[in-house]
Amino acid sequence: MWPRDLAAPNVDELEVSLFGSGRGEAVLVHVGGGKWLAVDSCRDPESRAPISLQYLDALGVDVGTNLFTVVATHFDTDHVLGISDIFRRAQSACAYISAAELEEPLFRAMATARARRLRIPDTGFGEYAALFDIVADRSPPQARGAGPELISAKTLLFNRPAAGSVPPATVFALSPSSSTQRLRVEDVRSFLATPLGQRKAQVRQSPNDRSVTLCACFGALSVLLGGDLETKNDPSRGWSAAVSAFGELRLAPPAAILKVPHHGSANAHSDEVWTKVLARDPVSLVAPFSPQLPTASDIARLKKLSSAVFVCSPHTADATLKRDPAVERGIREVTGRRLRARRTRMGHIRLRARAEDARPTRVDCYGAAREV
Amino acid sequence: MTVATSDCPIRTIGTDQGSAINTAEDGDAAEHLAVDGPAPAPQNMAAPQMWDTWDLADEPEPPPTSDLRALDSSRLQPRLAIVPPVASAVRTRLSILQEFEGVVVAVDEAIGTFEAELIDLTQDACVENATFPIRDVSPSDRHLLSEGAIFRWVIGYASGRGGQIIRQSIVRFARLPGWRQRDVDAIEAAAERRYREYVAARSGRSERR
Repeated sequence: MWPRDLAAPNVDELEVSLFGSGRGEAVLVHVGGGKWLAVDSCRDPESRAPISLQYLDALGVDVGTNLFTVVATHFDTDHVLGISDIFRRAQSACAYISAAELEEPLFRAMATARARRLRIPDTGFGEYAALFDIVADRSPPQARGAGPELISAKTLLFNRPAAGSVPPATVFALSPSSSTQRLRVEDVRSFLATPLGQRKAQVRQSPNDRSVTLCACFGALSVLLGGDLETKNDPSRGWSAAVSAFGELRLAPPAAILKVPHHGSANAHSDEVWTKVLARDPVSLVAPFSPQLPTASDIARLKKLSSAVFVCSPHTADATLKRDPAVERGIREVTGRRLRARRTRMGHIRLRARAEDARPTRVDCYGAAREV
Repeated sequence: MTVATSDCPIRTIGTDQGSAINTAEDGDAAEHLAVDGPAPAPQNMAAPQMWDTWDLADEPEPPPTSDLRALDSSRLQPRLAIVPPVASAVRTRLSILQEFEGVVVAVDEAIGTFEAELIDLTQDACVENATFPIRDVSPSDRHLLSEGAIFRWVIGYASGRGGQIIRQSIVRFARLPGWRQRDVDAIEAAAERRYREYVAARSGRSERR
């Protein structure tokens, strides 16, 4: 997907990379000084390796020492598959998960995932269980059970003052808020083991107001990583609460780069975000959830509000695979039509800018990614 | 690979000439239909691995008709002497042409269909979407049909004793016959232990801070 002469960003450069395959997304942020932050994870459909690791390896980054934080915004499978592989390689990193998810039912779901050996699909609970194991391996005996660090609104993940040519950088969380409803047994019950039960995949999604959102400030530039956070009627939850946290933290400057929340869906749109958190005409990056999101109207809304909109893996027409004619007849007789193969083609959007720039100065699109 | 289909939901979808000849309510499926109310949970199942039930190559072959005729007819019930014990389509082996592993993503009882995502196990790992009629699920599996349920869909040719080639489709839901109450208790105990360790480690960490 990448050219051979791929070069790592300079120590005084910000980089935001968004990867998406249509059913998975991952973000990497270079906060200067050779240090990287990984948010979520998805696997390359071909190699099955986490795409973030593949990219860092292609850049020649020493993941063991330079990837300082791994964040799982929430446990949905389109956000966390492969995140334990990233954390395992990032020997010096700290792993974070949403404070609203780390409740007793999560342990039951993790234990169930561990007891099941599902071939497809992988589960977010299994990834979380692996994160716990890695933390235990790296911890002193008295802290082995502590698990990943927890994120809630206003958690500081990174703070570095200016040092030589390396500009100052901070990374704060804006959600989940303290009012967010925490994980309940009902949220995971369909996945939990029951006597004489059956193997089940993780289909139900975590309520999106539990998603972590981050704001990374780098010199004169800020980046808003929207996770899957949605708007809620309750001002103490969802985007309203995240906007309040942004105001209370007095973060500046307004964000000129937006990782659009929840695949661009209308229920993740908040006017407050566009007026109080984002700069005018930001650059918007979208990771689709094919084939549902974003819709054409979502793209039209984003284009109206942004200077440019980039999409990792635009929807493509469903493909039909060639099969034995007898199989094709059999499929049609059962389902009434040919099967539609969902094309999952990885795309990568990369933005780079120097600390003194107010906007990203260079955008590169790799694989399926393109401007819309 | 061959699979015996004696306890599987079968949809016979055509002969080698492509003409449909019958539907899922054949043979053993018809036996399940005779049960009132929801299908019973598999209380007395042995504990094979998830998909072991597909490979029943060691199952003894039913005796051929000529052997039946050779038996002492006085020891046979009259019906056994007259007709084959099960519809011939059921007592056949299936040469698999295509296998999918599927995950149910939505069930619409009103329309009588369920949506699924399929992974092609035969040739490619891409994800495909399909809508299935619920009637294609054996009554003994219907209680397993729910969001997240994993199933296997097999299309193949069955060859009957007379050499008749029949194209068949089988939808079979995964079970956990090896999980009993004690297994679930063990999982819950492990979860509880990890949660207690977590709480203790967290409180210790906050004290140290």
